Amino acid sequence: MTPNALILLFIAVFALIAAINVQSGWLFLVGYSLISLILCSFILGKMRLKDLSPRAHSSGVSERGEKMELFVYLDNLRAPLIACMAPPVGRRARRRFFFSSLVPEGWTFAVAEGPQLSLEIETPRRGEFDLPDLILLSSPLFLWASAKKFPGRGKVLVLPRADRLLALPWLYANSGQEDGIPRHQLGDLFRTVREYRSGDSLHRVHWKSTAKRGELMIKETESDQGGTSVSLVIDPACREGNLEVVEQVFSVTASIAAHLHRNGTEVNIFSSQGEAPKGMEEQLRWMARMIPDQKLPPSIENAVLITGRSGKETNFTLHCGVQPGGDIHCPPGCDLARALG
Amino acid sequence: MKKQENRDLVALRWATWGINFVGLAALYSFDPNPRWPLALLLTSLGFYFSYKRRYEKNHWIKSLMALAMILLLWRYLSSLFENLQDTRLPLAGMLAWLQSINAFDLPRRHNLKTAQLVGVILVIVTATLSRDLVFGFFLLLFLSLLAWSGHQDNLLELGLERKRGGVPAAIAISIALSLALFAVLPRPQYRFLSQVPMSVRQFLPKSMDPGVRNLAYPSGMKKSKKFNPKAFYGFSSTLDLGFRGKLDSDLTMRVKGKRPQYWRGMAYDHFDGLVWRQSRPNADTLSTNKEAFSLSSNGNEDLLYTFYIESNQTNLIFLPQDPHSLYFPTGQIFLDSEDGLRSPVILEKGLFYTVTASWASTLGIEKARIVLPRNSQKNTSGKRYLQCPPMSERFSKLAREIAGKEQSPFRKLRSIEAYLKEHARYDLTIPPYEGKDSIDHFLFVEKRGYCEHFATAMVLLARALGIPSRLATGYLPGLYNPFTGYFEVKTDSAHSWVESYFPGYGWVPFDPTPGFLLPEESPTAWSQFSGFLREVPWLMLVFSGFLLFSLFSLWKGLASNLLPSSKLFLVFLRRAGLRRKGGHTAEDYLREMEKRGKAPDPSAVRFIELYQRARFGPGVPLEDLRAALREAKLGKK
Repeated sequence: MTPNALILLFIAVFALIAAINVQSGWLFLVGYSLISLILCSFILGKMRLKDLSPRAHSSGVSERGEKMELFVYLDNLRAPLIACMAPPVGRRARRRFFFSSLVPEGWTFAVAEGPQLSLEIETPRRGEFDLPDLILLSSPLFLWASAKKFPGRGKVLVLPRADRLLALPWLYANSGQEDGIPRHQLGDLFRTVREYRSGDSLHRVHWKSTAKRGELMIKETESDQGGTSVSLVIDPACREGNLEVVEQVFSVTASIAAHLHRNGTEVNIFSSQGEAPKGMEEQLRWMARMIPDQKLPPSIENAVLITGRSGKETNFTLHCGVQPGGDIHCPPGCDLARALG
Repeated sequence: MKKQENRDLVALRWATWGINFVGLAALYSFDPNPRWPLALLLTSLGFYFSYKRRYEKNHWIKSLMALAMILLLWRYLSSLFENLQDTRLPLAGMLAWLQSINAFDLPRRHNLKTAQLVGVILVIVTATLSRDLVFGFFLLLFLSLLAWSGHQDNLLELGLERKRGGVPAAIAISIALSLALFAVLPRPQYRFLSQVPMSVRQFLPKSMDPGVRNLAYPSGMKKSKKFNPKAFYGFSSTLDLGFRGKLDSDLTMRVKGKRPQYWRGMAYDHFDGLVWRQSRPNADTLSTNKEAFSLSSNGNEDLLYTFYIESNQTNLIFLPQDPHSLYFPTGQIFLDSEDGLRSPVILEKGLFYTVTASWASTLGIEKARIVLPRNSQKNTSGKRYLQCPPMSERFSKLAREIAGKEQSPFRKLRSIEAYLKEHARYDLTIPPYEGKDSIDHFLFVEKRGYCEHFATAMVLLARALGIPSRLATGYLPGLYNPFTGYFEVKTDSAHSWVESYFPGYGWVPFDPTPGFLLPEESPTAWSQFSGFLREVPWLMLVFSGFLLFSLFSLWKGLASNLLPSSKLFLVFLRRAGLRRKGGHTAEDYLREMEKRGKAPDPSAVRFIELYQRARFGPGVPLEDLRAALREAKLGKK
């Protein structure tokens, strides 16, 4: 029942009490009419939802934070203004709605114009979930909202969000010349320039840009990404109630992995739960299915560390929380930028 | 940056304005006072103004509105004290002006909702005032606008702008449903508030005539020998049985009350063979400084009747049986010797008064013995309710024959009543007859006549058997209008009947006229509703129209609108002996077939595959699907 219906019901009861007192037939009829309007809304709503059996289809894979398109097919669409709604992926649908609004906050809805409609549902969490339940809603005259729930069938895999990174200078910053591998052997492919930082070799100064800007600018090449093989170790531990931080760890890992894959670097991902298969897509799916632990060792908070380097291999451990320090460059505004402060 | 709220809400504004328009127009139809159109004009201006300035803060307008509302409250309270008998019109006036003021600041959706609420209350107040069917038209408009407004609200909620949503069907179903509830559900009466409607007190002239006055016969019945259809000649100092004519069917008064009754005006005790008169024409004066005249203290005051005069006719105050208190707008009234009440002034159109009454039980009346009423013993003749003109021998014989061996006076009267209903015919076309043996002529020659002939014959037969009786005149209950709750009494509802005296019970009414029955039980809501529809056939047509349209809408709403492929799929399920289940996919049905212990035939699997391709993807012609269905080998045919 909507607030409008409650107000009308209150007025109808008041009218009927007054009608009993003054014996006014019209007043009785006004009271009954208002009650009938509410009943009519109820009857029409139920009637419109009768025999509607929707089927929902989706691609089954989506990236966290991106909207996933859900195609809904309705068999027996008799009446207009049937709203089809779904909760975000991973959240359970309740048949009770908020009193003040037909559509709960965060839900997606669309009005059925024909036998097929599409819903763009939110994917706020990484993981493997059942397809969200569909709720069909009919609220003629906005007095009674009749809803019918249809369980979602099938699975949805929400991959960790992989933001496009511009560069990974910390690979270079930490390795310096110590790896003993000549730059040219790594196939120095000029990528970009950046400001000079303490410790940068003067061999890497990009003189043209330095002359132009009036300050030392350093060349960055593809080989600055580090070795040809990078191992990323995820510690999926997290404090209770701090799942968002873990999600950021996965986002950082996915972004780094995607960046390295794009540059042709071999990426290995490990966690306490095992090793990810090779290949970008497989690794993303592997990360999507990973369930974080609930305990976090206090000593490894806020750490992005290079934990080892040998030959062409560099090992990273990605812990919960990433210390902001400008070591990962990503476009402004993306989730990762926010995560990194 | 925060997105600016959409405050256009054009359709919702129109719906809200419409609801207020209906409320004010309905008020104007009841009370044609220029203040209602003026309020409507101001409200319309307000709506236009608030639409134009919907994105402004309007502080100065709000201040002015607050000031105007304080003035309005002061005006309302003062008008309340001026009209304490009936506070509905001042309340309606206050609401109308409140709405006019409020209309100047309606920027958002919830403001419009508040304005609608005031409109709804305005309609409710008008419903209590309305006394005719015109309000039905306004109620219809009001409901339609309310439904449309709800539809607009729904569209806003769904983020749509314009879309049809079956509003006419919803209106028709609501009206049909509300009429069904109205026709069937009982309408109990219970007085939560003790306020009784009564006209504003009238100032009386210094000298007042206690006699009966009838505007159709201003110089009295003796001088006016010509029949006047505008009023009943029985509301006079004399009632001449030689009068012939048909009364008009103009509305005389409306009576609000639950139980139908005969509305008694006056009674006669003396008959000379052709003319009835009151042997004691003088009347006592009743005065009161209180709100009401006390008429009796027996029984409970469980019935309340309010009489609204619709045409100027007489100064008789019409009453139900066994009245208790009379709320009448004069400080003085007159009580005649036959328990009739007269007003010092003519009852003019617009006057209204209220009477409380009890419903007297006649349980055990059959065993009551006859004793002459006390006021008759004051008469020098001693037995004025047994007075008879010289009657023929055959009349006396008839009286004895009808009474037979009955000992109970009550049963004797019932026998007379039954005899007259059976052996004579109610007929308004009888030729004039002015002989002094008019009743003998009626009983033995004509055997048809007016109600006063029947009533006179019964009074005389009762008196011949020693039962004190008199002839009463007044009005029939009239047609009960279930919509207004009023009995509509017309001029031609004037009637005569008999009152006989029973000690311990008082004067008990009898009606010997064929086709007329004294109401004994409260009718049901359905009988009142259907009775009214029978009398007003056009209303029956309107209701039938709504009922048919709503049934058609429901049928259309329930009719299937399946896609052709889905229809074929349902045929498949039926033939496979499977029941359709919500949320089941086509594969689920195949699995269900497997669970039955028999793997589905490849032809059935092929049909399912084709169906899924046809339904969820392009490329399968319907003909192929039909062919696959024909070929599908299923367990059940």
